[in-house]
Amino acid sequence: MKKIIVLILFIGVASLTLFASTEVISLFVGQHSFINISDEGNQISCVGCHHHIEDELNHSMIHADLSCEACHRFNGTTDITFASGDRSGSIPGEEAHAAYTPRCLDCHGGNGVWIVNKTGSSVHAPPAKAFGEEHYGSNYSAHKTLVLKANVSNTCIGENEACLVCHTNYSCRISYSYFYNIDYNISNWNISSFSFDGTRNYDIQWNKSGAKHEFLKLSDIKCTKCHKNVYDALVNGTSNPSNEDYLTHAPVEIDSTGSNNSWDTDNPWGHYRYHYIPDVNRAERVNNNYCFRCHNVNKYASEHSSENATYDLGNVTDDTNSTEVHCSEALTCAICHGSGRTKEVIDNPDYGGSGHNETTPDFVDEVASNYARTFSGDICMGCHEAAVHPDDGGEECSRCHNNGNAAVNIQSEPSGYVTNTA
Amino acid sequence: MKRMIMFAIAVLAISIFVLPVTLSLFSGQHRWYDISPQENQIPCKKCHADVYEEMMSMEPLSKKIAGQSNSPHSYMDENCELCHRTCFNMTYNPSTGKYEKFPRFTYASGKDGGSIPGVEAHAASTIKCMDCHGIPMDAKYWNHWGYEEYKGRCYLCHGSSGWYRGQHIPIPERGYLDFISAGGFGFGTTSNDTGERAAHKQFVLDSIINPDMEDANEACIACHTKIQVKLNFNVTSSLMISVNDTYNQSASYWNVANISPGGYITYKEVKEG
Repeated sequence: MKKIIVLILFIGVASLTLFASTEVISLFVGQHSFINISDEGNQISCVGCHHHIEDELNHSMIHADLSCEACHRFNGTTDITFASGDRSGSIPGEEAHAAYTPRCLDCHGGNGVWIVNKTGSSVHAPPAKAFGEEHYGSNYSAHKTLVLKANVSNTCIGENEACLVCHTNYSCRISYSYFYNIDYNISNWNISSFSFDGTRNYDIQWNKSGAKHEFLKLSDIKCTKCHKNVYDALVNGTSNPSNEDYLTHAPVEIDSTGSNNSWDTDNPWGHYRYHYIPDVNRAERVNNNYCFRCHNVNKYASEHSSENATYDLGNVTDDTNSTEVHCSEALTCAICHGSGRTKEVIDNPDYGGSGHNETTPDFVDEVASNYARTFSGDICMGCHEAAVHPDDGGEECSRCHNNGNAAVNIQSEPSGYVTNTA
Repeated sequence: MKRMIMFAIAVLAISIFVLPVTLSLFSGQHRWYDISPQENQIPCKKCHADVYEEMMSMEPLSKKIAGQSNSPHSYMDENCELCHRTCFNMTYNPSTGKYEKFPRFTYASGKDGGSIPGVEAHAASTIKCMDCHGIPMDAKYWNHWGYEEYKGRCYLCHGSSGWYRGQHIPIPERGYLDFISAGGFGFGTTSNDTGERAAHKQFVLDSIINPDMEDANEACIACHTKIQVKLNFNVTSSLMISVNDTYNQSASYWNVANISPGGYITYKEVKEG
């Protein structure tokens, strides 16, 4: 009974207090505490709402020294008027109010730009080679179609999808479709028949953290993550119990007469093989540097002075278009091995036949000229896979080396299985 | 002792019985405000002390009196009517994507002894930030310089000098043309307002639709005030790219057929006040 009386008394007092209260309870507390934006610079904290992005930048290998405003209120090349309340008056925004979503090329186009970082130092945003030029540079860049498509896609502004997918921890899934195999016949170093067949669908998934503001250092951009079919073709391929495994995409120079009759020694040019990697080393050595050996000779040469000298890469670079590409050149074997090129096909001195050395017209150039680029490498690989070159010589040697005859079936990456018969 | 208590009760009872005064609840309820002068005589802060405190929290009063305050709305702390009885009325037109002028509200007024009954609002309205910040130019639409709440008080918004809290003080110049336009969203607040690169435009457009506050106020207030904001982000974390090798016997190219979002991550942000 006593408890009930106390409860009634409490409710009565509370009701009376509420009834007599002169305070108004407000929704949205703080909405009349306006932030003073009259000082120089930005006083509205971007990080207040975008703390997650600050975290990403703190883990980023590039751009971690930049403020939000350095990129998102950048008007060095964009001619954007942002809203500003500096001093007593104000400047109304025109193209953007507080911030804009920049194209990466706003800073990395043309010759690049100088911007001031968090410590007050001027830092140079380097130009994106080729892609930062008018029309995204030459057509030799292997990824130009990716940039072109990104520019008309709506997921990001401008070409940013293409930039982000390689240069940040933005993840990607890529679905490729391409031919499954080709068949061709060679008679006296002339392709007498050619056909392609089937469709290979190959999906890759490069799982990263998904953070668009975690920029990668260049060495962390792994070619083989997006081109895993090529990696698999180079490292796994198709098992071959009687010889080396069927590993395509990297050709061997036809010369297996080294110290132990294997592919691990010098080649007809007198230096260590350029493309070939012994089985045991493939998983480790098939990496960006390996890709750049062919797909960006200029970069590889500039970063490997010893190889530059050994392989005469200065002249090889001149044969390629690698100075005109972003990171990778779309090429054919003929770029380096065609007639008149630095690494023009030469005869194997270990065997009597001349192979397709000095064929007229040049066999390698003919392949590049008459067949689509997507097939030309595999036409070469039909003979230059280590797996299809027998060790025993005899009649088989003269079929190719003397007569230039072969019937080839070769599968595309990653399986790379080949038959090369009479 | 008992006698003393009995005696006190008796005296108290007789006192109340003979008392000529009536005890009233709600004392003061018959002291009416004179609302006949031009300016607002009803003290908003009597009920909205919290809002008044927020308005006063931005900069010290001494700085305002010295005419050195550049913070937004700094001279409106006791002049609520400048905003909440404004003559400006801008409304977003989704079909044009621009803010457009609308006639002013009629507020209740007792000026000069008569009275004007309120129509859209009585004492005050909950305003849209864009009512003032979305105007390209009055151009004699509202003739705001002659509006009763504003007449002779230009300096409170535009700066110069005038009376504030009983003192004649200088107020920092803010100018006139486009001086508070929230440009950069493409809403037509100035002649150059394209907003074509604005990062937060969708936030503003979604705020206009959201019913929690008037118009785009959620977006304005989230950034420009110290209100606490909780945000749930759902952002793309992955791309799906389809690449088809397109070929015939003699020519080929890699056709990037499609790029689309391939995955999302969600996270929560809290902007503290």
